[in-house]
Amino acid sequence: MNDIVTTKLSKSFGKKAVLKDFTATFKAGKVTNIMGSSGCGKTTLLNILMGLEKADSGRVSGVPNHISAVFQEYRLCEEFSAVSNILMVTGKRVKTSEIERHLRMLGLGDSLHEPVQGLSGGMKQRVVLVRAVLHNGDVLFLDEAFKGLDIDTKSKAIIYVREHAQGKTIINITHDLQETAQMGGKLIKMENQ
Amino acid sequence: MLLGQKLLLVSPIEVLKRLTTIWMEAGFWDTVAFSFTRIVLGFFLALILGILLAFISGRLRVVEVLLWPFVIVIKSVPVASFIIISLIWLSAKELSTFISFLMVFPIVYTNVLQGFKNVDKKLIEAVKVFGVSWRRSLLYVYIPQIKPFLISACSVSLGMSWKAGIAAEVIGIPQGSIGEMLYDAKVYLNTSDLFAWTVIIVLISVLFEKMFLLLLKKYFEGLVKV
Repeated sequence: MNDIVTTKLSKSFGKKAVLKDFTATFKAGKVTNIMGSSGCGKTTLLNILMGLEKADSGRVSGVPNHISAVFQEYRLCEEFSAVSNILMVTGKRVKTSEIERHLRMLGLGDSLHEPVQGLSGGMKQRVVLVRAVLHNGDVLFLDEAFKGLDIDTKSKAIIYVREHAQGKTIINITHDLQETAQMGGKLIKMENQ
Repeated sequence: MLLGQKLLLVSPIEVLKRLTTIWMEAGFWDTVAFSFTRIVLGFFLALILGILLAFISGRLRVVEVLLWPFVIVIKSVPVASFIIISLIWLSAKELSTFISFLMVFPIVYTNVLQGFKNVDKKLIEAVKVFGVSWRRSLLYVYIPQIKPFLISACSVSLGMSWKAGIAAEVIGIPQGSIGEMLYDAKVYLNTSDLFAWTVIIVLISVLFEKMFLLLLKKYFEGLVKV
């Protein structure tokens, strides 16, 4: 597994420059937290790294093909259950019982087979965390992955991610300094352009 | 005066009386089967091709652009023109299948394509990031979101396939079809037969529509249970 390196990345939407000559190295197998005020380009950076957006200029290297993500939105198939949503990304590689065990770890034991459209925001957030962890990508992109969780659940969720994504490259976008301390690793502060 | 002479407007009682006897006549079920199989065949062919081409058009813009003029022509040309033109190419027996197909295809195609375009782009991105297989994307992302569009298309086009299919039979007069029965009723001014056959067409069309939509919804429900 290689380090992910961005070199002089720039991206504008219309006349608004969101990223300007952004250069950074995300160490392989380590956690990198990214903080910065709203609109400073954190999500755009993640989208470029995930291949969802193209940078206007600059270079990205070291992103493997097999990646996992927690997006800012849940991006769940609302008609399907939590277990089914995770099966969608894992396929038969992960057994249903294993998925259920992981969801129970985050306190979702009562809602395993309910359509996710009936779950609360916090519950959906935990489902997408388990989905990203069980997908078992080499890199885990987390875009405000712990938002909407109460303090206890958030701590549990962070411990869950740290334990089950150990040894993977984790890029974690957050607004919460305490969260970065719990996640460990490096901290990059991004500025508005 | 023709009023009251069962010629212009036959009474509902007369129609009911005729309905109690018509189904016992020799060849009744063969006639129904003749028209049913051909119209339903046209419907299913249009359904399959409409869904298939809508999926291809949804993924390849060039196919959508190429198909657009054909779909517009099929949508706007009067059904009677199609029937008469088709009589030159096809035998009267196959006419109702072809006309039913022409009525259903643009409705299914445009609705499913619309559904395809309405699929949540954020979900498509998620599927791409997670590298979900095409089969699973279809099952979890595309089918659930296209489902209401497809059900609505089927609901609208089922009745139309019967209307147009029978109209084609009345013009083409294939032997042993419901259209032939309606044509004969008109020629012999047999209004009670005309109304009785009309009631039968409505009944078959409604029953088929209800059964088909029920099975379609059950099928979709089965897909969601995982």
